[in-house]
Amino acid sequence: MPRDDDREGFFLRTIQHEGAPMSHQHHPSLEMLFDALDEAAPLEARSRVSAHLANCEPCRARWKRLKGRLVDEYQVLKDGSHVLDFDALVSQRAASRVGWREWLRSLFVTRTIVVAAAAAAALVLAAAIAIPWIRPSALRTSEQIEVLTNEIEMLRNQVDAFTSVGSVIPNNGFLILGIQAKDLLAYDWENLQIYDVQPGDTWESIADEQLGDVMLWPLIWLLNRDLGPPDVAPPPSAALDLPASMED
Amino acid sequence: MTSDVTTEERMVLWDRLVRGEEVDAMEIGDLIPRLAHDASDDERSACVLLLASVHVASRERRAMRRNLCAALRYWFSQSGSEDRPDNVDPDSLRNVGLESIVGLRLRWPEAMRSVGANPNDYSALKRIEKRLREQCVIEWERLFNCAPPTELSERG
Repeated sequence: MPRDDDREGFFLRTIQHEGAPMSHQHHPSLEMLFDALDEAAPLEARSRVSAHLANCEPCRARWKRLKGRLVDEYQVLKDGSHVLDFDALVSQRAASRVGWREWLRSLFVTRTIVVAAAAAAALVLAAAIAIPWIRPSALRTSEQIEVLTNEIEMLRNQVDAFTSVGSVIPNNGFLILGIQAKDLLAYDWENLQIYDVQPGDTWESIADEQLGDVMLWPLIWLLNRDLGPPDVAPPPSAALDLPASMED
Repeated sequence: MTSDVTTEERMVLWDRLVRGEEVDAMEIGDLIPRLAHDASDDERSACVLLLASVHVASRERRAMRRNLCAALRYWFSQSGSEDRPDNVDPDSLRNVGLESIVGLRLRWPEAMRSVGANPNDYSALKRIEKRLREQCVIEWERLFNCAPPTELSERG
């Protein structure tokens, strides 16, 4: 009965016989060795070179030198040279194209859209807040101007009628806001007196000091409206027409 | 001369088996007529072992095929005239052929690791040897129509 080492010896001995160095009449060319280095080369070609190298010691020595030289050259290229081979250049070019697309995508998809969306949201929010606030304000202003214009016109007509024709002004009831008929009746609007405007005088100060009622300034302005608008003080040294007090 | 040519063709097939590539049994059909009855015992053993290995590589499960690949690497690494290198990295031998295996003097765990198998599975070598032996007996009897050598035929 054979021993275990005998059985194992059969395989080892047989394989060692197969791989034993032998002399060959033909050897692979340098091109074939280079092709064998390319993993993309057909398996049949690589196996044929590999099988030859396994038991052809001169070719094995040559192969080892060639691989060592290639490893050295590869290391030189990797460490110190900026010269890229064609495949590396193609890869670099492809990577740069991808980078440009990625940059555009990130610019438009993320940053720009986020900024534009934020700006649009801010505009909408500002409009939503401002438009309802501005519009009533504008309406209020125009309505107030219209009311004041009507009041002034009505007051002007009443004063003109009172001073020129002597119309009876009702004792009660408002002529304009803040002025009652009794206030007008306290003065003689037919026999006017002259007042020389002093520096610093205003329509309100003249009404307060000369008539004793600041609320009557519109009437004083109406009597002297040729001197300027109501929001501008009468010029100094101008001669104003003022009603005389009925008590004088 | 004829023997040398046949050896080269067998080595091409061994290389593919060492790489873990499958070999079609039809591809080795041309080898059979060359096995003249006056061939040496070593030639006969080599052809029978190659036929058995091709059969295992094409018919057996993945684990057994991996064990076959490791065993072939282990045996072929013991051939050649070189001494064992100082640094042997089994992980760098995954896709190499015969030219990188010969002379490495691999240990069994290193051979197993080079094919991605459990390096501590020493019984794997026994299993693949047993399977190869069985197949070698079949191939020997079919090829030579005679009893195989005692080292193959005797059951342990």
